[in-house]
Amino acid sequence: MREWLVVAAIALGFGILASFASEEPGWFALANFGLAAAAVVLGTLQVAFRARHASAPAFRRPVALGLARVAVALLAAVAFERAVAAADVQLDWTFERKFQPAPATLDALAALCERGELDALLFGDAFDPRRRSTRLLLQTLAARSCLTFEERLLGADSSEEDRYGVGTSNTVVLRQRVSGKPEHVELIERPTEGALFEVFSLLASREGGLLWIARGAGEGNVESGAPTGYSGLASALVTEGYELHQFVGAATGEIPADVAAVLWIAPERTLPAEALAALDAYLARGGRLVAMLEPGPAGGLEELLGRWGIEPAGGVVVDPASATIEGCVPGLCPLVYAYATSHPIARGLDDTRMTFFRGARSFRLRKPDVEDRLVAVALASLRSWIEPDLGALGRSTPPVRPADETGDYHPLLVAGSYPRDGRETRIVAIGDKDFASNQNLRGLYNLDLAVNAVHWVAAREPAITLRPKVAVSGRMQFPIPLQNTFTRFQSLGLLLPEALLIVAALVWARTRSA
Amino acid sequence: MTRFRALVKKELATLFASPLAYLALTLVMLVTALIFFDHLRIYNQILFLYASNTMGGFESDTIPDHINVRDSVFFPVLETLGITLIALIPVITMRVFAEERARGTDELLLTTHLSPGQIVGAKFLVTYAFVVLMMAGSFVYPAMATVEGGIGAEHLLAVFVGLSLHALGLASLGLACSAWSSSQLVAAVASWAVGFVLWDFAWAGPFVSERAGRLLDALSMHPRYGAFAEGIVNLEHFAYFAGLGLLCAALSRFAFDWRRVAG
Repeated sequence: MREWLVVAAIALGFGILASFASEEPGWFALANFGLAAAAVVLGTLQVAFRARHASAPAFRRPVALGLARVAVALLAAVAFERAVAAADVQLDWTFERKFQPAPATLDALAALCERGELDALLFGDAFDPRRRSTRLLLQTLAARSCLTFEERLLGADSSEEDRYGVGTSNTVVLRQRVSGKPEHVELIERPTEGALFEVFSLLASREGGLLWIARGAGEGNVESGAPTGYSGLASALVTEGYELHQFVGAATGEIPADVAAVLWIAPERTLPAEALAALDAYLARGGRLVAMLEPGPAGGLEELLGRWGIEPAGGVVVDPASATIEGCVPGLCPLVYAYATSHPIARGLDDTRMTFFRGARSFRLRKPDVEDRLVAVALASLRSWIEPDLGALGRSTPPVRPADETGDYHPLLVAGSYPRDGRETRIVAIGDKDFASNQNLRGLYNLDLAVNAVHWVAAREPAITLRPKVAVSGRMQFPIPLQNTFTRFQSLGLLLPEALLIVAALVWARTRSA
Repeated sequence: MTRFRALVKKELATLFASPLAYLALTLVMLVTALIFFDHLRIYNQILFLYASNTMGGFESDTIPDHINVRDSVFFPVLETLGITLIALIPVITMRVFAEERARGTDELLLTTHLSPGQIVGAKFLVTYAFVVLMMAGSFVYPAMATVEGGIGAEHLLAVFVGLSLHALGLASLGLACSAWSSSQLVAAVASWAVGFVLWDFAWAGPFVSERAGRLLDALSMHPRYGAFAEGIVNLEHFAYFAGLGLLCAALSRFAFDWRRVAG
């Protein structure tokens, strides 16, 4: 038996090696597989011949019992593996936690699944390492939704690649089939979770309503792709289903009641009285407003907000819990981890899901009516205080805490709801505009706070969620200091094996002398 | 239970009284350290080249995505060590049962009122403990280097959990092969062959249908432990290796019955 087994093992090994070496198994591999099979058959016959004693009644029972044990073990092993696989329990130990789909991704997928079928084709080269990550990502999403997933080797079927326009490895083709409609195909060439989420959201084509964005008085520009622009925010809002419409405040006599919400990003110049009156009238009719204000004059919005019980405080918030970001004066970039988590805007945010602001102002809240509800949603830390001198924003050194200043929570984002005559006006005021600029929007959870604020104001609470974060592969691209690791290599990587080898030598010597 | 403990102690004493155990530990730790350090060195050099303008490299922030610790260090380390373990683990497991059979001491063991199940259990336990010790030892240096770099220690742990499961799976196969042979060499060659076949069934792809190919893929060890390189710890894969261990233990137990029948 044993000689046949050795022959079979050697032949099989060489057959497998030859198969791995070439894509198609050649004559050499096939001949080796044949030899291995023949050796196994001969070995089995030999074993059967030797086991003829087992036919004796005295030996049947132990053999049958032994075989039964093996069969039970096999069945138990398969059943256990299948049961655990069905439970689908997996832990994400990646540095960026990239295989825990964001709630927003799953929500968008669920919306798509309600409409029809969705499948994904991953095209990749056999040796493309990115394919593994994408495969796992798609498998994770497929396990939690109706998405089906198949993998294709790039170049295997050029007609399929031509049909979908696939040109590079690690490309995903998403196909949506809704009854009564032609198949919708989307091509994703860098399939991160964020990219997939955007496509899922667009395919789900959720109706968010019309969002008016003010311009003409130095407001933030939603068309600008510069770091200080807001094109990122605009793009995110479109992804979430909003139709954007820019309007010039000074030239607008009336804001229509069917506008889902108005977004006013920190006017630098004083707004004309007509614009403020139009906004006031719109809010009085149950309108919705998201206003971002920078420290200092806010073009007249401060008076309007004051009438709704949101009084912008002067000065700038100084918080020792400040983000260390390039170009940021220490203390003036509050790192926010205190949220009113009962409020829908802060859903999912907690002290590990922080946001940060750049030179922010605070608000004082005073309810105009007993039925109104004013909530400080995001607050600077308990150690924060207000520096009245706005000149601190231009200096590079942090402001000094006054001796009598004990610190307090200072609201940086507040939300107000005002039931009036069967309608509800909603206002969100944010004491900073920079937190949503292109430069900072994708940092921490700023995007979620900004978009969720718009969702709440537009009465789209079900759409409030946390979105996939940009993969921080940059962290995985940090060099590991070689000098230090060289020291470790010598002290642990080499010294430990050396010590073990010495022990082995001593054991060997002692064995020989014994 | 006392006899079982005594057998475990005896197995441990036998294992560590042999230079082979220390050599195996040395080899795995040394190979891990060398592979890890070498990949780390190359990764750092490439990173430096991409990030350094003065070196004539590319501009910073244009480092390709695939140059990262996961793809440049963790994954190659897992692949290379995975193959190395296929060759190394049978050397550790070959003697466990085969030596007893060759010397005839397995008959003596059975006279000590230990059941074949207990004997198999004790030998599996000691071998598993040794394999875990070996993998833990080889993990020390990469862990220290990674922790010092401030990245991906948890991810590296996932890699080593995957490698340890792979090593335990190979040890189970090796023990089963050892239980069915009285020759250490045959046991080693057989466990090497079975481990290599079970490692990845991709070679069988051209001979079988797509459905059978998927089934073979589910039986392969490489996709199972390879998933850990991504930093994903899936309990399904734990169950696979636990099932493999259970099956191999049952086969080893059956070897005792078979020997009584077939000699």
